[in-house]
Amino acid sequence: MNDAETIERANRVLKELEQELNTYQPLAWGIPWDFEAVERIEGIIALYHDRKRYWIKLLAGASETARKILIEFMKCADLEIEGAESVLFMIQGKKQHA
Amino acid sequence: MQQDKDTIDFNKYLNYKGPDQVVTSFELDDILAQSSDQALSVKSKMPTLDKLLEGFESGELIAISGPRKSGKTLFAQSLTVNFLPTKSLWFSYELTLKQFLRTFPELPLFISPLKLKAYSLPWLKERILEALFKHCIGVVFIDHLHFLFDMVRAKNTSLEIGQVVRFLKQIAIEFNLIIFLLCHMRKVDLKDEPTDADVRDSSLVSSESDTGLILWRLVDTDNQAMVKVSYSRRTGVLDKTFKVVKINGLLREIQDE
Repeated sequence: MNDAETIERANRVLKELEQELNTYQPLAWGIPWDFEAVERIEGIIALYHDRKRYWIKLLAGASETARKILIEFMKCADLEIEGAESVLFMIQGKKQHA
Repeated sequence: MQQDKDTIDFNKYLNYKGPDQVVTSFELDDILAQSSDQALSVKSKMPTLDKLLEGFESGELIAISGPRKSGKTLFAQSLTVNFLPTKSLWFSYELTLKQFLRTFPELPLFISPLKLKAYSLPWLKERILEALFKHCIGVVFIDHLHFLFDMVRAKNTSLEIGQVVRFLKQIAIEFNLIIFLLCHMRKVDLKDEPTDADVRDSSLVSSESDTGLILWRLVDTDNQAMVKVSYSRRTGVLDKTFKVVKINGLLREIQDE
């Protein structure tokens, strides 16, 4: 797979991710923090993990340019996962965040 | 009470969309058609081998075996050069790193740990991931199988080998890599053509790997060997051979006139 193809596929998955996230929206602070909210946030976390696995697969045999882009995507996914997990902990009352 | 226990929430199953949900063969075909384009495929630049195997594909585990001094490592080194620009990660347990580097006529680009740790599959996986994230390797060479488990402590060598081979196959699939595993053979008569049944200690190597390649030296020559594609799960090839010759420190195929 050449550079352009790898980057195009990585981007396509990013766009799909944005669409799939809509399934779990609204993640607004206004919604009641109930079972449904927990399910939605867990869904978001699973989506990001799923996409990260896909991006890791694209790393095999990729160029340096593609590598940098894929790693950036994965870093962003990790931040999103971290944020979503913090919200989840708050909802579940397992951890207090400022 | 019993009835409540047996109540099945059909909505749960109707709406289930998890990653392990059941799908029809047609849906599966669509999904695979979309995802197959992420497969990595590399050619050996040995025409007969490439024709028989249609290249090596990610997710595959390839066993390279042969009697002692048959040229297994040299064959794998030749593949390393021919696979470029796809980078390979080498675990060369048999030679010191200095010796290993010197065996190449001209040093190609490949990746290797600075130090090797034998008998540790978790360590092996960690280094594979490091090489994947740092260098985007596509291929892994392990020379050889018997350095991946402790034979002294092994209660059942054959089962231990089976576990190792399965572990490597899982890594190949999970990270889209092509893994070559070099294996020794038990002592075979030089006059006889070796088969995959001669792989030392375990038939599980043959049953768990996707492709089996066997090398043996042609005793009446100084620099020639035979390579046999003993089996290929993907292409269905069985027991097809071709000849290779050592030229400028690497093996190349000799094509029939």
